Amino acid sequence: MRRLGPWLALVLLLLANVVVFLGVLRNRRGEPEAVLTLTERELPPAAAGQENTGLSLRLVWYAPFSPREEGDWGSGSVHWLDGERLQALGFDCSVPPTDPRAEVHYRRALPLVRYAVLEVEGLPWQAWLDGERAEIERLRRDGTAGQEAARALELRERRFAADQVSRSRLTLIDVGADPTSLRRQHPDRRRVAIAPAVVRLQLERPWNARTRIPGEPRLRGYVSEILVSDLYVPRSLRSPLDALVKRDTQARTMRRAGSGTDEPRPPRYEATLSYGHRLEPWLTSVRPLAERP
Amino acid sequence: MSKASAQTRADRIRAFREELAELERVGIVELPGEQRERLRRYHDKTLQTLARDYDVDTTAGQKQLSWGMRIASFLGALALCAAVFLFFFRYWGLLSTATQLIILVGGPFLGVLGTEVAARRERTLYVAGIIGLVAFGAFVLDLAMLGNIFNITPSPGAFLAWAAFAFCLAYAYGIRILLVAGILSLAGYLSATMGTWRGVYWLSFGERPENFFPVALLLLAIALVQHRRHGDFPPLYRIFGFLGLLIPILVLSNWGDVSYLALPTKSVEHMYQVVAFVVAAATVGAGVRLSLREVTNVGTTFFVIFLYTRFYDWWWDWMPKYLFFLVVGALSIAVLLTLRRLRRIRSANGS
Repeated sequence: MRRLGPWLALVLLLLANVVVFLGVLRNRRGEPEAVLTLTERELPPAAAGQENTGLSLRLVWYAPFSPREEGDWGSGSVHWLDGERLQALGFDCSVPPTDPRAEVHYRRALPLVRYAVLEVEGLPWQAWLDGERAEIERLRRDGTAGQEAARALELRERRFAADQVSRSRLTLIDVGADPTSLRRQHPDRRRVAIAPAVVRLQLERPWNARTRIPGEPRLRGYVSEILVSDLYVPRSLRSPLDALVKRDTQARTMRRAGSGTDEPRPPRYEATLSYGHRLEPWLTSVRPLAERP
Repeated sequence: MSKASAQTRADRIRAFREELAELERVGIVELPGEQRERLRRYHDKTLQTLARDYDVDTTAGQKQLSWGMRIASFLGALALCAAVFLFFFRYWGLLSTATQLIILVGGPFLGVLGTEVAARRERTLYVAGIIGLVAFGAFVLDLAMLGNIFNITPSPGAFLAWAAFAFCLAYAYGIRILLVAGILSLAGYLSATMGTWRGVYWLSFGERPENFFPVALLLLAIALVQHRRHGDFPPLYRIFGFLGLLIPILVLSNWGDVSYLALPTKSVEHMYQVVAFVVAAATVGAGVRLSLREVTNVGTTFFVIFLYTRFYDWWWDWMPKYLFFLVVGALSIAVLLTLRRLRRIRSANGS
């Protein structure tokens, strides 16, 4: 072992690196599985400390909230990821949510790795925009008197205006166990990406603020994490981003000092994100967008 | 002969010399001059041979210095690993992908070569140990950063590669700190893999402490294999093996929710509380019977921890605090008296 050990270690090093490189080649060989054109809205720069010169972009996405029923606060889970779908994904949903054992049974459920389907500027995004417009319109129509109601309406309008220019348009539209069948269901490779994700389950008790009565317990799932969310920017693609990151750091310092504003701004760059055959993403281009006057 | 058994022999000679001197001083023994000289020459020669071949400590002063050197080299190795990581993070954004890859892949290669050169030049292996641990750190950095640069989905496979690498270097040079690195990496890999068999996200392996039981048993099984060249390795396997059993049992005896067992939470906790005492007592028993000091120490420590956590659960809320500590103190004295009695019985049997 004395003579063999160092050689074995060297062979192991070589082997481990070769396995990694072969995996990367396999992922990036041929036509990508999906190619999305995103902007700063979906890929803002990830925060890095002063001791780290690397630059990554963070994939930002949204899950559609459960549609609000009369006074229902909802919970942020995905309304279509119900007990039946969760069972199909591999969770043990054999205990009915109303059963006294349900609380302990579902609290013990472990997260599973499955596949999330993300769509850029699709129907759910449009539906969300329409829903927000309708809600603001309803608040205006109701016209509840009082300073507080007027302030709430103004706040909502301002937030919606900001969301329209800066919120990510990447929406979670499906979750499944088999990426091939998911791709068959969502064939648009320019707008839809499939990525490994961590799916969790929870037992919800929706709270109705109007009646002040908790609803029937129900099972809902949610995606807690897309496994690769930080996308490394190679030096060859950094030039449009370096100046922006520097400017943002200065702006943050000024805001901390009390000067400067935190106004929402339209995206300043566009990036092409490709997903390979192993559903691992990489950035293929970053282009600056013309700034609006 | 391993370095550990060579050190035991040297310690025995030193103790023999001290005892002989004491016996001669009080007049129990008086060796003839020629015989004493022959014995002295023989022991000197043996110690010289052991020091030359195995670099053992032949005096108490040397032994103390060795401990200091071991601690200094361990801290030095950790600091150097941190320096390698931080240096890379400081400059990697300024480098092209090709340069990054050359540095990442080349780093551990250089580390292995450096370890070999240091081991050839210095028998004590302190410098080789430092460079070996830095090589391990560079390999961890290598795979972690390749995953970062190429946006690779994280997997537990890297732990297996790190474990194999650390074991290769540990067994090649007899470096204990690398063995510990290998054991921890192997534990990470096996327990994470156990979870993935059920489709669970591998980073959730800590949410089911039972995932650590198979790796603990594996480590205890490896400790049974005879290590002719590395007699100081089996105690490390035993320590981590028993820790791998006793820490999860401690967690499960307090939080039954995190068990795989489909039983009510309280039943799981009660079951593991019984198991905790049985396993800890059996560990102490095995340690005493087989004269394995590290096993006895681990078992005793956990027996006391289990006992105190139970006392806390049973009495903390309803007892006045002074009474709680009084009872715990009284019980500690009772345990002490019991152990002293056992010790007396054992020494009487021995004599």
